[in-house]
Amino acid sequence: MAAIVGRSSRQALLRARSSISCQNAGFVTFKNQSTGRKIALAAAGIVTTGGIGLAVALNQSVLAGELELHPPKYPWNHSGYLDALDVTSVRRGYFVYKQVCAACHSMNYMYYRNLVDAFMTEDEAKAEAAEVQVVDGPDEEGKMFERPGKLADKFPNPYANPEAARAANNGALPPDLTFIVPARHGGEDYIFSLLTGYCDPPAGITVKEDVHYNPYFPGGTIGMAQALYNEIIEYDDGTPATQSQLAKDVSTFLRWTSEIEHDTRKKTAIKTLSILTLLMVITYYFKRHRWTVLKSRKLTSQK
Amino acid sequence: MSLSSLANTAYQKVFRKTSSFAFGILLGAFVFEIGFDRVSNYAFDYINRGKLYKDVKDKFAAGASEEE
Repeated sequence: MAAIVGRSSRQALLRARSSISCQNAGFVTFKNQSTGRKIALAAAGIVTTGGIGLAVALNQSVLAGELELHPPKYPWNHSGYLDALDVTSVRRGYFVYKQVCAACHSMNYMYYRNLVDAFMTEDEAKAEAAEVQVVDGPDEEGKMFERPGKLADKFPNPYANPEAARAANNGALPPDLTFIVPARHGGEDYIFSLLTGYCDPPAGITVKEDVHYNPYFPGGTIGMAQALYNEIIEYDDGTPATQSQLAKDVSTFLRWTSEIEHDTRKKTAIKTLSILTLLMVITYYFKRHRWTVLKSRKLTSQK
Repeated sequence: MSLSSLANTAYQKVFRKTSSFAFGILLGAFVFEIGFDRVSNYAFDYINRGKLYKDVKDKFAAGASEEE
């Protein structure tokens, strides 16, 4: 009985008093319009939408006019969110860089100590460093001298300065390769496509002297000659050194040099994502727990 | 029965006093982090088995000794 009284009294309280006039909203409706007007409005809508679509399509086709071949997406086995770099491939890529690329390209931000326990033992890395001569000094007489490299040394620079590099390469500066992968659109895909993409220029395109045709390079002509050929070097693990294998390994190596924290970063991703998921579950439960009081209360009022 | 007695023991030893509760939180943080790191490192190593340096370094060492 009390419940019925309470309910009815609440309904009475909620009911709008008649002295307040209901506001009529001016809804837009096509219901009462004539058929001709409906057809005209529909036609106008179709023309407008089609016009916008046409404009967008035309704009995109204009963008496709540049003479640049975009690299396809290759299934790198380190491109997944939790996939580490393939260490054997990085190691092979290091030897490709050392024996092929390093003749022209510097790698100014890599040190021999970075190789230790990345894909080499400490002794191997020391032996690698000792192969190069490093200018050190000054000694007691104020002279600079050369000594075998140590773990704390940078990778050697093939040219003394950028001007010397340009002079030796017909005016084209070979870029530093340490961070080349994130510095180019397409990343590893671009590097791989560029290294394997040398071909004869198509009919109608004349290539100037001292440059080479490569459709993946913006502009189509590149100062660098094709560097990788089948069996150009021999891998110490017996992998067949085909051109595409060399290009794949050196691309993986360049991804590693640009991101030596790559594996740690992805390991941190596992930890971060799982701890945040855990915290989210706890937070959701705690919110529900705290709101139970508010959500389950029942208000009654009496006159 | 054993669960309720365990809960009672936990209450008496850890939660009842603020000092022991704070100590329990500190200790729990250490234990949780060690366990959590182990589990996630194992997960990463399992996903990437055969690709990491520690999986293949013996192969490199074997190849180097054969050359010498």
